[in-house]
Amino acid sequence: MARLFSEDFIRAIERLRLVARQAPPGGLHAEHRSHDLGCGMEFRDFRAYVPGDDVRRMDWNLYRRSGRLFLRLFEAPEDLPVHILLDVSDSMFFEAPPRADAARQMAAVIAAVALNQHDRVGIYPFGIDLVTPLAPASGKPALPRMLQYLEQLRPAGTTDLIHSTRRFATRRQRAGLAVIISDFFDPRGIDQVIDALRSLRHRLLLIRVVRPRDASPDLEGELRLLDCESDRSVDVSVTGDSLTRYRQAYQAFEEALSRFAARRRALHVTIDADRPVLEQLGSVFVGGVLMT
Amino acid sequence: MTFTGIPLWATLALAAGATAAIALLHLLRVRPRELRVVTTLFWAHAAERTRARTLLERFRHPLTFALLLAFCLLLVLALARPEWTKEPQRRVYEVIIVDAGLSMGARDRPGGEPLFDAARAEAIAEANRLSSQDRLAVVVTDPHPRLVHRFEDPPPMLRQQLSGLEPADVPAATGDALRLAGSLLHGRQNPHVVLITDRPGDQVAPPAGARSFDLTVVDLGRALDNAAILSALFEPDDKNPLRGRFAVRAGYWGESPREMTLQVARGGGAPLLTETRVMSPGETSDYDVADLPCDGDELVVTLSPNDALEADSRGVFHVPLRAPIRVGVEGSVPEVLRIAMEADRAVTIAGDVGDGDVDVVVGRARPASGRPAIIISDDGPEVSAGQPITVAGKSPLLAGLDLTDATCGSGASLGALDGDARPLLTAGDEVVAAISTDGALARVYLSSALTAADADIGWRPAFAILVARALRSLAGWDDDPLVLAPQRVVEDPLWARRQDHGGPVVGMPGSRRASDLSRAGVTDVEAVAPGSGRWAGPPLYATVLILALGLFLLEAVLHARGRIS
Repeated sequence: MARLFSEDFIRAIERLRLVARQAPPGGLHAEHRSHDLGCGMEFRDFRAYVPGDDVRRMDWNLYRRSGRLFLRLFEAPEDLPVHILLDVSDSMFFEAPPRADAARQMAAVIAAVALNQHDRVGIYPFGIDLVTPLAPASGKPALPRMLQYLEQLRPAGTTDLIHSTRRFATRRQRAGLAVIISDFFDPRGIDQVIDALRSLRHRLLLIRVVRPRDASPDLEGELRLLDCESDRSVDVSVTGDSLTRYRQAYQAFEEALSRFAARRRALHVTIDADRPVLEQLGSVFVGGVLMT
Repeated sequence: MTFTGIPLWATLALAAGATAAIALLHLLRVRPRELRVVTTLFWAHAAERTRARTLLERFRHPLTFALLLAFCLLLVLALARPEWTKEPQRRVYEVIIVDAGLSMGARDRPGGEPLFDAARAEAIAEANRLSSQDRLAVVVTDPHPRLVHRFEDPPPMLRQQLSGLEPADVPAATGDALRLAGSLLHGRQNPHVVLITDRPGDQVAPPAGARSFDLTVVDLGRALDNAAILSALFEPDDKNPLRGRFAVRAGYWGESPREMTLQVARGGGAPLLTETRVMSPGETSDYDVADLPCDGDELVVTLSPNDALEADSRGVFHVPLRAPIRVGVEGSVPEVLRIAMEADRAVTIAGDVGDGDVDVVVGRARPASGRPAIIISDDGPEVSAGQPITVAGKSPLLAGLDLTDATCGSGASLGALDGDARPLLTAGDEVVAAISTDGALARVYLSSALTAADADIGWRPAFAILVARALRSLAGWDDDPLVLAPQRVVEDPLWARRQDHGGPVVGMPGSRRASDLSRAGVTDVEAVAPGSGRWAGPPLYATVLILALGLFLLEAVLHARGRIS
């Protein structure tokens, strides 16, 4: 784990926090607010006593003042299942440094933060299909195993987000936070990608791994461009006009993804694959906290 | 194939040059640099409208190379003006004889097609089997042999030339037809005759004296045992035109002699005639009912025993309600005019001037009888033969007549006309036909130049129609004449229209010409005969040129639609 995840890297991510607006019910005790009002420490409300309630939670001072029986309600913090869907398709390993490095470091960041907060974390790499996932685990001791797992991931073919998300949905995971780390370059187009994301029944965090030349390619002349995943070729004369049309298509792609994220109230962040991930955490974790 | 535009070596040199130039352009085409990218998702949109802007850029696509190469080669080929090589040694001269005799009119069922239609189709099929270098002539025997398609005629004309023909009412003179074919093929290479008939092949043999040729008999097979009423004719009596003779002609064709009974009865009344005769195959028989009044009555003709072909075994005819036009003649009536008058069976030539309803007078300006008259005059200046005839005035007599290229013969013109006479036809400045309606005394003047034996117009159906109209006009009839072949005629000129028995082509007795009265302005099929410049398909070089332009257009369309970018 020397190259991708150094000691400095691990130390740097320990101070970060992941805050969910609301944890789904039915989980273990952890640090996230939940709908369950039970035996926690943080007072939330009163409610009128009904026969059968626990008499130990009655507020006798209030009874003395009002003459009526009330119960004190406390918030019961629960854990947040975090499912990291990590794109390990061929395009993520194309070019140097590969986008997969930044993507895996970002996955490690998310995993480490969640484990620190006693959340359960599962990693689901995908390419043309789901790669053998790392079973969900919680607690800080699970982190080294996750980092080792991330380190050994290899290219897994063409991106097929639709099939992969469908396979992920069949695993019947408890609703939680689905973190999709990808370049979202599915050959079927952005509309198919959005359909795939829409089918996920989790709160979404979209982390897009980009490069500056994605938006402004520095190409010129008569080119036969070969897709690194599908080997599909496109003959193009790179001129001002064609570059303009390329940028328009790329912008439309970005806007479609952003619009979808906004409608789903999902967080959509971008990571530059050419820059160290640690330098970019400041813009992702505002004040050290990532609100999802 | 020969090249009439440029020599073969120049054609090949041009083709090689064009191929080299196109191939060079293809080799020098812009070759794109291959580059692997993370995704082509957005480039597909960017390249969508990136089309080749110059011809050189288009050459990067192999389909463009192939299409433009083919275009250039075809263009060179078209410039060379290729023609299919004629091989005189192998050319076949063929004469098709189509039997149009009595038996070819047989129908196997009511409303069915006669055997002649099958013969016509077979003739066209045989013509199509010939190669383009072969030459074809077609002879129809209806009943006498007649050349309807000459060796020089364009093949596409054949269908039209055969379309208006009808079988005759008497057996065909096949022997004469074979003799005519022999004379047509005399001195020709590879002479061949195809006889399309319903007669068995062993009954057909070239007559003695016919020249040698290969003979193929296409036996259409005989029709069913059949008898038919072929025609009906009412002939006015010479002495009393208000009565006349009703003549019916019946025909029979089959395997063996047969007893046939013909009955003529007034509509719903007693029979006027019942007669039984034994008829041989191919024989026609005439039946007469004498001394019938012209009372417009209905006559029902029945031929029995019924052979299940009722379409031609029963006919209903009408006796005319009026007398025919009786013409009295004086002097020697020109043959041309006599034939024209006899062609109209509503006309009888009664005898001398004064005996008839209308007089025909030759050489005298003022007939003495005081009846309406056709006057053949030669009082005017001489007119040279071959002088074109033009229509000089408007008259119902001239309506629809086709006088294109008609010329007059050697003779005199009419000279100065009487005060009320109006010119009808002129030759140059001279009037050759005129009409005068001086009160009740009507006159039609024809010049001797018009009725001369060498006058082209005299042998045209248009002239016969003009004469028939003139006679009817002079006799006070108000209907339009219809000139009928003698085999098909009945006295009432409207009979043919009502019976729908004939078809549009009618013939003039003694004339080999025919006219198609169903087409306005056309009175002579020879007007559309060979040499009239009918289109007979584009020449080969034009086809090649069209093909080349088509390929060029295809390349442009494919490029415009983005199939070639």
